[in-house]
Amino acid sequence: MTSTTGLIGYCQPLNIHGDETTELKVSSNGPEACSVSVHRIICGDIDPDGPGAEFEKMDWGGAAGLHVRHQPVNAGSFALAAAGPDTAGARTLRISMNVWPTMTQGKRQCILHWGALRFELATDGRLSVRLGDVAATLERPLMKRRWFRAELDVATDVLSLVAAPVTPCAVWTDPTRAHAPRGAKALPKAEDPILFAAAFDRWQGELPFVTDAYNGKIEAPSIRARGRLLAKWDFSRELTGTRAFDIGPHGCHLTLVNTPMRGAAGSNWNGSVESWVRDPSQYGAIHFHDDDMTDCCWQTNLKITPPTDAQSGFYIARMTAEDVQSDVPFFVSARPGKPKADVLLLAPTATYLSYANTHIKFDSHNTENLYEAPMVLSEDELYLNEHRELGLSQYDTHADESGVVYASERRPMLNTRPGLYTFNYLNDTHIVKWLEGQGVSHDVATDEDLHRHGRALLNPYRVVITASHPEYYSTEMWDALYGYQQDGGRHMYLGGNGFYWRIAWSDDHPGVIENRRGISGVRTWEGEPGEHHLSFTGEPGGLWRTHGRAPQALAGTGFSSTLFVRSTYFRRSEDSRDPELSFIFEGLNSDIIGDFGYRGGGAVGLEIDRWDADLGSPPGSVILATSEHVGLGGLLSGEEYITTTRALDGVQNGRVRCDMVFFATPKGGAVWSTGSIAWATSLLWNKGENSVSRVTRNVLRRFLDPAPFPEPASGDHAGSTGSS
Amino acid sequence: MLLYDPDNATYEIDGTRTDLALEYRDQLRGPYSLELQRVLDKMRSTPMKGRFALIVVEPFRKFALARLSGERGVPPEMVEGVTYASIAEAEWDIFKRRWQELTGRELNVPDR
Repeated sequence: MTSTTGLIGYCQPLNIHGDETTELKVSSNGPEACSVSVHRIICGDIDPDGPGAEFEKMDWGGAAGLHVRHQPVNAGSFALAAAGPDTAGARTLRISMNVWPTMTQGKRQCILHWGALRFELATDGRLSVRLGDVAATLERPLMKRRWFRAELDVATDVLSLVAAPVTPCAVWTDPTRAHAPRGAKALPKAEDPILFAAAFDRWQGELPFVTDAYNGKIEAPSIRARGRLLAKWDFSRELTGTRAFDIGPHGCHLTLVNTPMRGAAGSNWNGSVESWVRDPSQYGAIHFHDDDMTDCCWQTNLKITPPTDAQSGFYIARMTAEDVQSDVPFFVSARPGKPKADVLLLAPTATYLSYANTHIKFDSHNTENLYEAPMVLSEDELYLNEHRELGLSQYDTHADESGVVYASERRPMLNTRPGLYTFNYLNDTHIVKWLEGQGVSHDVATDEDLHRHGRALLNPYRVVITASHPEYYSTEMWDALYGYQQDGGRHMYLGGNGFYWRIAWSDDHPGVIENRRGISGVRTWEGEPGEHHLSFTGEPGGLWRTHGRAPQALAGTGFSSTLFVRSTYFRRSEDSRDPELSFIFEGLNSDIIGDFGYRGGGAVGLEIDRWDADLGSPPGSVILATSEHVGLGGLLSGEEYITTTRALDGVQNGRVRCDMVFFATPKGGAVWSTGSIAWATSLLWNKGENSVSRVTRNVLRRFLDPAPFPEPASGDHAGSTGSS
Repeated sequence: MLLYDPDNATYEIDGTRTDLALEYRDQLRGPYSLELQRVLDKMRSTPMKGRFALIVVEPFRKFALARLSGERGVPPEMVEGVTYASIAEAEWDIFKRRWQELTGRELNVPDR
């Protein structure tokens, strides 16, 4: 079998425009050389029983005989200054800080490393200070997820350590101490790097490589020599940025590597505020993880520059060597303000990033229940399980069971490419193939384009298509799409579970998105109390719905249920027979739509949305069709019910359904939403000759017609419920 | 912070209810009766350590039975000599294996 992991790589940046350059960075697990060819993906679904994979090979960007080698990854987040505070003249040191360990067994974890000095957790969770060969170690292990105040002294003759819980508990009331003779080892020198949350191993070029990375929070570390302050770091300062600020006399600021979690509640957090914006002084902690990884920092093997007139789209750099074929995704986006078509397809790259390298099949207890089938593990997934250094997805938990809030494009993303991972990316290429098959000229841009360019990106297009799963939206993205709709734009939403989580991008953290799962919604982990605000922006994280912008307000429909066991179909509503809406169902000879498809055998499936005026479905919005026979497989999302009940499935609960919705917007615009991820994967059934395709084509044709849609009379159709 | 509880599936499968097994065999993807759904929910909530999973041997055509390690980074362990030509075939076989493990009774019903 041809290997898909013998070579792995990533393109940086992920998202370029014609005549810009992306750099292909490759690591080899065997081959010494490979060839590279660039392809535009028309359909990336390689299932022989699927719609037919299709790739268009480019005459640019490729290379033969490209030398490749293994490139290591330096996982684990830490804080570093290449040189610590100057200790000249000092013979003793006192270092204090607060720690909140989240893993206290199984591995050595370094909290501070500075020259010969190491402050660490031993494999059994006991705190220890070492100076060279001499160590003082507490007799009892720290407890997980509790704050401890720790102070270590390097005195003239003695090395000592004292620690106590910040909030005393019955089993640990008084400070615990340890001592050892100091020995001959010298204090750290000015040229020694100082690190928090990992031990320095080596410089690889300009990159610091570390070992013994720590899991947990650190707060307010300070260093004194004979009572004189050398350094004192305030982690609540510059919280959105990439450095830890030293308020001491020497300004020994630390660089944060691999994006440890900021906006972390400190030892003094008391629940009076929920955000670091309101009171930074309660957020003076940083949460480090030994499996944080947001930039592989690999060397570039090949520069790829599409020609200026390259068609925008989903692209791959295909690396081939003997018995190896491995694809690396990148996107060539339409240049903002320079449309080449009337239709824009938005590739939901924030969704791709959030899901990138998910490990939930291995780590998350409920995954098989959610998907209602045994886990099928591909070579890529088996590789990811064994190579945690490639970083986690926002669906994963860290090794210390805390949730993953940052996801980066600066690493191989083995489930974001043609292959066996049949969610999101692959499904969206069904839309590309459908557009091509229909002869619809279209541009492609990404979520990041939408975030950065907003309305300037969308305005030139008659129709904007959001894809099968545009789940992750920043404020800028949401505002741009809403503004486009309200200004006469035409929006087709060919998916489900869209516009769900509020995320952030940051100029300080290029290629990284942040998401906080909060305490509501279908989520594979729950955030810590007080830590639901985005560190990139200070905005509240979690569901858009909890911020007054339920998906219904943007799309007319919003997430209601998962439906993974098998998909179902739509039946037309009576309201859809309004003559003004007849264009949508033109040419159909049945009221049943989509009883077929490549995901679960129907167009209503995977994740589905419903209409709800109370949640923001606009006045005048019409339920065109509603699902039938969702059954026991449909499971209501947590935010959709208030008190507990057994009636949470599609047999018993009328909210476990999917509504297809249309509404006109001001200035002649309109929105049409399918509300189902499986809609996109039914488009190509029977070579595109089917009711799903027909309805989509009907809507697209009318949406391309500049004739304005009449603005709805207030309240028209607003009483529709569509319950089946 | 709420974490998963690997021991939260407390439903006990009645090993004499072979009618439910037959229902599953004949309708792998449902719709299921409520009682069968409970059996499946229990089976799909077994601890991660030792949980059956499938490894792709040949994409879309051949799958091998394995057990998850339940430990991060540790690969699944193959069940020697057990492969399937389809997911459906695998699902039915895994159901039978789980039936035996969870009820202590071998599931003596014919394959389809």
